[in-house]
Amino acid sequence: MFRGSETACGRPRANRPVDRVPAVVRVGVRGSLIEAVVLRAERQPAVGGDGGVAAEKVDGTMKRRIGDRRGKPRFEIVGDLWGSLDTSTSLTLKNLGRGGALLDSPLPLAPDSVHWVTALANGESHAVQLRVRHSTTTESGETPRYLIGVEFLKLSPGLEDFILRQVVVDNGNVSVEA
Amino acid sequence: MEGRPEIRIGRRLRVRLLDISANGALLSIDERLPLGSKARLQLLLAGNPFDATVEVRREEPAADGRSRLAGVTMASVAALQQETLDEFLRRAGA
Repeated sequence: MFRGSETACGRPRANRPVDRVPAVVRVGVRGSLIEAVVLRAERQPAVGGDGGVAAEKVDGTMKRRIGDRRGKPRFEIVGDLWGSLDTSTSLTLKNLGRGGALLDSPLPLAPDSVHWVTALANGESHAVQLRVRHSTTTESGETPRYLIGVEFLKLSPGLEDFILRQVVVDNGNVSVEA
Repeated sequence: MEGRPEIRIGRRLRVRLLDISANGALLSIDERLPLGSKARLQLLLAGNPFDATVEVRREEPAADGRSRLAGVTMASVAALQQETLDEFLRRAGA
């Protein structure tokens, strides 16, 4: 928690200039507590047509922070404050076989890495464990995308049936374009 | 095909909070995040758990050349979590 007597936290200070006095607070890192210094950052202007890139500092000068559009006071964390981000990313199925698939992904996945993914087929959700066999980058504009070949390691029976219904058998080769 | 399957991959990534405001944050992360993607951010703010859904608004390489910077906005914050954030910001700015 906060170290009230040693910090500025919880004690409003009249006419305190922004961007000057650091306030020492305790922040948690995965269950433990460490100290970090939180600096009052400059107030950013409201988003406007220019994207809100300029900010007026206390001394009257203008500081440009490209891409920052926040209109609320921002507090810079000095020290380490770790957390976690749970992401869910959609991968586009390019083609599908009984043993694997080719996926178009906005994220790189390391070769030989193993992942659990969720496949939604016919309104049902199936957990699939797969291994990345190869990955190539495909540039499309500014955002890179990745063609990722995966091998199915574990499939639910329902999804296996679904795949079998989709594949086209051609001279012993099983494949289907999604 | 009888309905194209949708495939989603869920991952938990470790992030470092660089700065935070009432409506957004700047994160340091080892991997690229797709613009517009939403994610669940979990932090401890002054010892209090903070949990919010955030949306990636900008993403760029960090100065160290290895990690990435992700600017996120708070897309959905529960009332209790909002109180935690407001209290953290209030104390930090006091």
